[in-house]
Amino acid sequence: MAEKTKKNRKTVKTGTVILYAFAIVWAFCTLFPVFITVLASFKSNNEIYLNLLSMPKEWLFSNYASANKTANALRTIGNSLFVACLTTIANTVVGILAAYILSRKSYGFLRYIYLFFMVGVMVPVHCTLVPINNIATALNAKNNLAFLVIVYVAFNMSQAIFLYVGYMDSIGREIDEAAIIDGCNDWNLLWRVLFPICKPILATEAIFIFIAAYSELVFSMILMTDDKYFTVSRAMLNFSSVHSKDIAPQFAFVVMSFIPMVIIYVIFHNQIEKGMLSGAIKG
Amino acid sequence: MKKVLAIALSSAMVVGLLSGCGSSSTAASGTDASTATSGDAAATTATSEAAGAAETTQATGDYDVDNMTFNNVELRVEFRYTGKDTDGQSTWYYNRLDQFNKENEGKIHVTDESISTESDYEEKLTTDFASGDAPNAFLQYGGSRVKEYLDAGYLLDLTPYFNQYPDWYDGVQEFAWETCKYDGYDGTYGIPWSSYQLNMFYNKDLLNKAGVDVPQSWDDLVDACAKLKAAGIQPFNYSDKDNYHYEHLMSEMALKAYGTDIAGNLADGTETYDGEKMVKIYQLMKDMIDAGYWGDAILSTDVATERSMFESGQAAFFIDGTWNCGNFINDSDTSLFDAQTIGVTRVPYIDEAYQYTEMGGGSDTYYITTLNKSDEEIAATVKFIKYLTTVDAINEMCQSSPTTYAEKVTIDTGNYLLDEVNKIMAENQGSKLELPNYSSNTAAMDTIRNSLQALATGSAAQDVGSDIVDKMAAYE
Amino acid sequence: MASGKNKAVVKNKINPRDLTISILFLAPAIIICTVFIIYPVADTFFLSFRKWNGMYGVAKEFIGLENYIKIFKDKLFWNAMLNSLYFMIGGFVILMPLAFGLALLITSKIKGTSFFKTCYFLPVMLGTTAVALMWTFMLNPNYGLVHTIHNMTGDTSSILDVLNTKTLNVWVVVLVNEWMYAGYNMLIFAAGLVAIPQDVNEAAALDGATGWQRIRYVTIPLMKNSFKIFSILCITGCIKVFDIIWAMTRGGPNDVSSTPSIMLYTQAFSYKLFGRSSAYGVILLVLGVSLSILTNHFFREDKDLM
Repeated sequence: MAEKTKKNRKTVKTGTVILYAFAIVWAFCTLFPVFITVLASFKSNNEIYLNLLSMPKEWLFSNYASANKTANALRTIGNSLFVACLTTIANTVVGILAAYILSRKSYGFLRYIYLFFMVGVMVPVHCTLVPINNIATALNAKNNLAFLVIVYVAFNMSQAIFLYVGYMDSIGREIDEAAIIDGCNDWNLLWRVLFPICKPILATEAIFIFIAAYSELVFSMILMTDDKYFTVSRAMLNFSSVHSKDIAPQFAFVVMSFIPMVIIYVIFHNQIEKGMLSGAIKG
Repeated sequence: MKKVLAIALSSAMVVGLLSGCGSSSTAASGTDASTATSGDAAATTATSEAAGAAETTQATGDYDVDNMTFNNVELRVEFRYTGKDTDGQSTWYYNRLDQFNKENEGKIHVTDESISTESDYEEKLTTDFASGDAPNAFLQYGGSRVKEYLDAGYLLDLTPYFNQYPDWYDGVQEFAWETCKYDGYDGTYGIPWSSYQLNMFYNKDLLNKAGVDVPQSWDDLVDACAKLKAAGIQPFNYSDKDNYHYEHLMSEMALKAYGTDIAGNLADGTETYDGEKMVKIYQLMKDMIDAGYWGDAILSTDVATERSMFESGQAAFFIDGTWNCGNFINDSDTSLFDAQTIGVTRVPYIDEAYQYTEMGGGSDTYYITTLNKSDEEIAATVKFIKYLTTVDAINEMCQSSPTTYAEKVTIDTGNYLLDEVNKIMAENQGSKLELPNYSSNTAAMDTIRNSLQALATGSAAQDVGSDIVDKMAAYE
Repeated sequence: MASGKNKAVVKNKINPRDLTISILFLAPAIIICTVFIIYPVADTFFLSFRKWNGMYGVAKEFIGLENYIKIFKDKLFWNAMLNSLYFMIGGFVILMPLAFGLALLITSKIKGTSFFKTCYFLPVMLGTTAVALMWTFMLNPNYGLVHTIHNMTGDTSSILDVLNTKTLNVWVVVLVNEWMYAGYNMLIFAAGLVAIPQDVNEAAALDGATGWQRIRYVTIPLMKNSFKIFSILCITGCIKVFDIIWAMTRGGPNDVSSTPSIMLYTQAFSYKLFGRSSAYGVILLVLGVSLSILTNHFFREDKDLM
């Protein structure tokens, strides 16, 4: 008996070592290219071409200044943040309302509604450019950040609903029944009972939506024509033209646009952590 | 039936125009196109006749755009400038734009919607045209890339405006007009601002070191490469990541082997891209690749990198457009240029008879759209485009970025390479644009550029030819 | 059990108030999706039987099935489908185990999980454009990472241009794609993992199950829903993959690394064949929806068996 536990502990130990080794190796794999990018953002063009791994001879903060000048980095990052925040909030609210019905009610037509949303996961974006541009033209909605947000909401909706429904389905209905007996209506059941339980998936999807909206290019290019409203990806295009090879400021811009994302992630990350905990307890 | 309908509609339109109903004219041409054009040739001809008719009617109107009064006209233009303060040309353009908006405050306001990267630019322009929300003016490079806009009747013929301002027209060098004129159409449908031709830049020091003369013929070039290679010098770092690069050279080589006729022959089918003549050209290119004269990593190198490698003495030759005269002084490493070590010459000829035949002409060209535009907008757009393309304006642009322009630039920039390039261009005997430009197949340009890349991955010359023809057929 | 009972109750009497609430809850999502997804899809379907050069006002001529026939005859289409299949294989063989492993790791009891989690998620946060910029740069045979290491060792032989070698380039992009999205899918699996009640695992541990056995016989069966979600997202994502490959190879050289979405794009925006591009859209849509339904069924039957 005692021997068995000892053996078990031993396997657990080697298991832990493997776990740590794997964790560290993959962390290196993801950090290393990011590290090179940050390093490159401080080098001169020639240094980058000469040796990707070397430390910069002189730390060129001017790359950041010129990135800011070329792409108007601060404003574009602000625009992207604004659009991404609105999209995330709108998407979560609209998505969870629909997901609640799809998961909790059992009308026959809901199966078709679900399929209807599934189509959205599958639509190739480039098919929709001309029709959506038609709508924007008809509504005079070009250079309108709100319109851009609605488009993003539409394109992220399917995946959000898909994930929410999948998650809600895995939550037992005993909770609902208990709540209904307590006199909860649909609204309260969703927001007071299910919403907290769904936090892990909501936070996860929120991050996905945020990233998608923050870095989207195609629609922001077609629908936003005034450089006041440029988003990060759109501004990035200014760098990659045929006749310029400003690779260093390009890296600087990447780093700059990336920092707000990390900050947002860290904020959300705490939410996820909390959500996960509550999910674990209640589930 | 359709023809009758089309004629009826177009005559109705002419009547409408004659009655001086200005703003309805564009609406009429819009309806005309949608009802009459159904894809068959008869209707299309009718439409273009109608467009022609519309212009003759307009000829009686007022074309003196500089002395017109405008009231709060909003214009949008889609060009390919890289953004404020990025390069010489863009800096000049945005200053000029601001100046125009200031001078015309309360009258005309122009919003620039430039996108510099080619595919993204095409995507936006195409989407806007498909939605009927076209910009007032856009940038293109003539040939097959503009033909569809022209066939749909959405481009403004500038002829009456040039009649009004003869100096404006005369300011452009004759050879550069090819991007604006089409067989079967009488008018001049745009105005170019840049011009170019292909040149070969060389590093004088490296050639001396290997004891090589500046090559005149293609055979000379091959010999020179062999000698350079033997002396441990890399002849070229040829790049084709920007896939226009092989296609430019292919066009140039075909013109220098068979003269300007090859362009027309390829367009009308008497010569084909998989025929013996063209395959010979691909073979010449492939020989260079196989011998290692063009370097490794051809498809991972873009033109900017190729140029910077040339500038740092890592290659003896660099074949590219004349626009590089400006780049050599703006790039980070200018030591070779400053020491006048860079020389420039014609791309070597394949048949001596065509030594002075070149691939080049007008390049960046402004086109003005009539799709869903009022007469006032069109006139204001003409005013703006004229503001950008007078000789005085282009002189300023050349000052800020010394390269070859379509206009007759009168200033001396002091750029020794540009002076030599101008000397070379003055001796030209005939030039043509890129060969795929003359094809009636809209897909020709892209398919040829893509297919030629296969040369660098080891495909045989004949296979490349067949691939081009197959793909062009698939997209006809 | 409980859910079945619940369903039966609702089926017996339709409550109009309940129905109204259901419709009200669904309405915003349905309206937005109809306008921005279904209308464009309908338009795509309509155009796929027509010929149009993308010029406003120019007639869209009906040509029947010609667009579809031309696509199926085009060997580039089949090559593009094969490339999509590579993405799918990579997704199931590399990405799924990797993401699941990472999810186990960050939900395990090892120290520093939040640091690791942030690291693993970094590539997604960089965005496709930046990731592509970085990797193409590092893989460049003239100045990339391999070149640098090569130079350090004093080797002067030429380096394989991986992004311009047929088939290999697609696989390289597949790997970059997995590198980027491992963290993303890790979160999907992690969200499922934390929903597994602790006591189930503890009970298994008390029964003497080793870590691996617990994963194999307890965790994975309970994670079926997450695997279903992953599978469907992976399949649909791979069929319409565009961004990463466009940013890294542009579908080149000479179209060898094209995917169906890249074909769709070039048909419309380079060749101005909007009809054919739409036909591509319809094909992708039908393929994606049917594969998703199949996947759904696959997982559903599995459930019945258990």
